[in-house]
Amino acid sequence: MKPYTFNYHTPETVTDACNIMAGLGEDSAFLAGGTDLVVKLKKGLVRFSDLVSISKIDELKKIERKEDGWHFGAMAPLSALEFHAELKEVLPVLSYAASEIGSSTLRNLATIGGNVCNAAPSADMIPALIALDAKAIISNGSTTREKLLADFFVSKGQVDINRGEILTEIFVPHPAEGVSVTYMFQTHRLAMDVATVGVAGAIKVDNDGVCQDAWIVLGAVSPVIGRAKAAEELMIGKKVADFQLEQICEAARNSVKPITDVRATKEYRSEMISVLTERVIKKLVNQ
Amino acid sequence: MSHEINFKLNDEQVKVFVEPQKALVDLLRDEMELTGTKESCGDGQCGSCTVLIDGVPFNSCLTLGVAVDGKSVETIEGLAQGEKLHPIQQAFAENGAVQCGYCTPGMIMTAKGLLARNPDPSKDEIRHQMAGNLCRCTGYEKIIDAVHSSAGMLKEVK
Repeated sequence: MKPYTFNYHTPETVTDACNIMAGLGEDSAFLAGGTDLVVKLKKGLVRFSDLVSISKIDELKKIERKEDGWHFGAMAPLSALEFHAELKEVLPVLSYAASEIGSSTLRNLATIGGNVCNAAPSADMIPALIALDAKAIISNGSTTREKLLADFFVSKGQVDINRGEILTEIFVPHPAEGVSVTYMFQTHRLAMDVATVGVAGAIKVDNDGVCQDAWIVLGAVSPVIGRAKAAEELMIGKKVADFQLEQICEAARNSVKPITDVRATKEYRSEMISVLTERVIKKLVNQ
Repeated sequence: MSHEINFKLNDEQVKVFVEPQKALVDLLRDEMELTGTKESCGDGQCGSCTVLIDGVPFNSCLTLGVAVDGKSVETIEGLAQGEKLHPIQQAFAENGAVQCGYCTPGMIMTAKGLLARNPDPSKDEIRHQMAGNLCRCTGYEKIIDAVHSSAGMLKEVK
């Protein structure tokens, strides 16, 4: 029997990568770090005629802090976020989220773009990125478009990207004055585990202690990671000292219908949404 | 289709032909006959296949062989100089950090990468960074001790 194999492409520019992919059929894919795709490939869960590795595109590996915000190249490994001294200091929520994924060797392989495009409900980078109003920057090789990350996820495992397009960057604007942000999650084990429930939160508070804007983002409790708008609305316009935590947590909990799976029951997940939302808000208020 | 790749393997320039579906661990073990690198789970859960690529530890079971073209790969075989053990290997021996030995090459390569980035890690950092390397004989305390003491030994060498 002929062993299974595929064509392997190694473009060195985004334009070449898009052009190659545009000419390929449905059974082809981009290969980033491979921590998910190579596992599926080895287990025979997926088969491709062509894989387009984007690991030789150096322009996709940069992490840059510019005037408008942070530009994370899609191929920046999670360990680059974990150990980025400046990021750790000014946006510790992102280096923390990155540092808690998988293991140190996996974080050297896995990339921020891969974590986003894989679109797992439990992806640990996504809640914090949504809470920071991050945007996906997508190129077709000649033009780019951007999409708020909160609107980028179509369904479990599916993002808003067309054939011939590639995620080049995750852009995170500098948080406005008065904004604090945090992420908490629940796992069974400290390493090599994925979140059972994750909650990222952010609030913007003015000088009078009034909440001007709020983000509550729930991970691992719905097919697509998203914001709990009903909970956020209970916070906006209120003095943080007067937050009705019980109501806010109830609203967060009611905004999704978690499932029972190998990691937890739906009842446990619902309960943990309340618990983590309360902890997140308390931490934000006391920051 | 086979790809010609050129890379440095334990400081020696090599050229091989490899099918794109072949994982680096299989390339190392089957083609290069370097069986010091162990494969256990085969899907990135256990760390036993860890090797250094350009000085950084990676799971060689999830890295395609073709991806190391132009890079420098270091395996456990590259550490000792003749009979003289590398300080991390020495520390593992002295601390009794080896039981069945199957996880040891991966542990040592992860430790080498960790110490290259941070020559003076706390035990907590060692635990966090080594958490993806599983030992089923459960000798973690001695492994942590070995990595911690080898940090001191490496500094003395310098």
